[in-house]
Amino acid sequence: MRSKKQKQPAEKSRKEKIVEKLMLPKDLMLGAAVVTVTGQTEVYIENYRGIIEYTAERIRLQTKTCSIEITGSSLNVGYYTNDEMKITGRISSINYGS
Amino acid sequence: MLLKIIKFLRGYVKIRVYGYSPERFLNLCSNHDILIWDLQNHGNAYEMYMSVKGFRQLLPIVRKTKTRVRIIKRYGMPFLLYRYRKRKVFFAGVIFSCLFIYIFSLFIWDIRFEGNSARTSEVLLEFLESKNLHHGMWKKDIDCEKVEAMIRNEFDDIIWTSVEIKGTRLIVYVQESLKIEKKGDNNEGEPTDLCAGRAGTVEKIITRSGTPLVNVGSQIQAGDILVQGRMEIIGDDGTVMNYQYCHADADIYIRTEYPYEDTFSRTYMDKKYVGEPKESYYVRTFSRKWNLKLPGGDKSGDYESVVDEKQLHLWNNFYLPFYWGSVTKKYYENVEKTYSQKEAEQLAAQKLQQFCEDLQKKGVQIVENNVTIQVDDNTCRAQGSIVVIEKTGENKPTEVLQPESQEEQDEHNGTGT
Repeated sequence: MRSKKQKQPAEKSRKEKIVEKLMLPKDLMLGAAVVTVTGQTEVYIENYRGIIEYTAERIRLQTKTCSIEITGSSLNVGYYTNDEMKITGRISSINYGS
Repeated sequence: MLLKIIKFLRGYVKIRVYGYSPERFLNLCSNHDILIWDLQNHGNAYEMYMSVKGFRQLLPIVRKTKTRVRIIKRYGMPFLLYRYRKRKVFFAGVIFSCLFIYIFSLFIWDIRFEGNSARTSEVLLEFLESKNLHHGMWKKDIDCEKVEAMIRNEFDDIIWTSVEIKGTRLIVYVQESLKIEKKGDNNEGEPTDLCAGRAGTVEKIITRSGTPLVNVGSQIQAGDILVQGRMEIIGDDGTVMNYQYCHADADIYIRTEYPYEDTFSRTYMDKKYVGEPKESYYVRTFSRKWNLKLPGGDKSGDYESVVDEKQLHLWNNFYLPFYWGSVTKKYYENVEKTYSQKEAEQLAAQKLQQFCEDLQKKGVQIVENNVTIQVDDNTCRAQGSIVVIEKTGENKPTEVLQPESQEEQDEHNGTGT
């Protein structure tokens, strides 16, 4: 029982293990989102599926594996394309959901 | 910046999206590769910018998401053109100026020389004009390499040229050599004598090849042979067996005199400027010239005029055949003046000095200066001679002689048959 519990948080899929061993870029192989934050005012996000919710205080994005929630004030989308978006505004938190 | 220009040229719109699910609308837009920028949330509605091309693809997305789209503002070239479609003269002007710039860029409007000092730009320009290269010629008619070869062939002292066309300018770079090599000196095979260029006394002679005919101290006249290119080969019996010919070469320094005489009148005309210089302006294109007259610009009398002309150019290398300039007229009156004794002497000395400097530039050494300056009531006269030591020697072809002995033999043979 104990061993199972300990194992759970670190559990990785076979694909993840292979990618890690071969040192391949995870954003390409696993479709992991790349979030680049510059200061408190700019966020670049790559590899996302779409917008779930967008208001001036909260932006929620869906990625392949999880959702990302960015909260702040006067949030704007600088540009929005199929593979990259830029969010500007005063950012207070970035949360990852399941 | 470039992106902004492209966006402007293609045109873009600001739209407001509202309705059932605007988020889905955004996701569909990105899936259809429609670029959205500056997205803003206004309560239930979203405002964003989108290209015209993207906007045209919106209809199925709008239907699917049951949203409503409204154009708030239009930006860019296509909308401007549409709005000003009735301003025909404006468009004609735009087209005309484009055509104007294109047509004028097909010709050469400025010819420039760089690197020349001994040959003035005017001389070079005159030469180019004689070869039909002039301002206002077609750019495509110029063969740069040909022009380079032409300049090098014409001027011996220009050892390197490069011709390039930049914009509407023809730029000629030249490199002048300091030493002028005479072409005649190069054919070493021909037998030559060294002859005296001036009369004088031989000071020093160092012969490298040939037979010297003069010694140190001998008096020579202009044209005398100093070193002969023909060498005699003397047989055992003391007669000349044969001749050997060579290119005579020697350093011969002679002491010679240059006569100097300069007479000028003590009275001379001097200009006395009257009043303020008057300036007028003009505009010129091709052979037409328009003068802009200023009030009070015309006055009778003698004047010196100084013209300062400038050429219109867009950027550095796009010169156009339009010129403007100013003419400054300085009016003067002729006044008769007389040099004082001292002034006259100074002027004469100055002229003599100049003469000596010119001589020294030719590489001669001045040994004595026997010029006296006399000033009388009306004239100033400098007279005398300057003794110099200079190098002399001009190459002239040697007379080719048949050796006597051979001639005799030939004669014998001739009578024998």
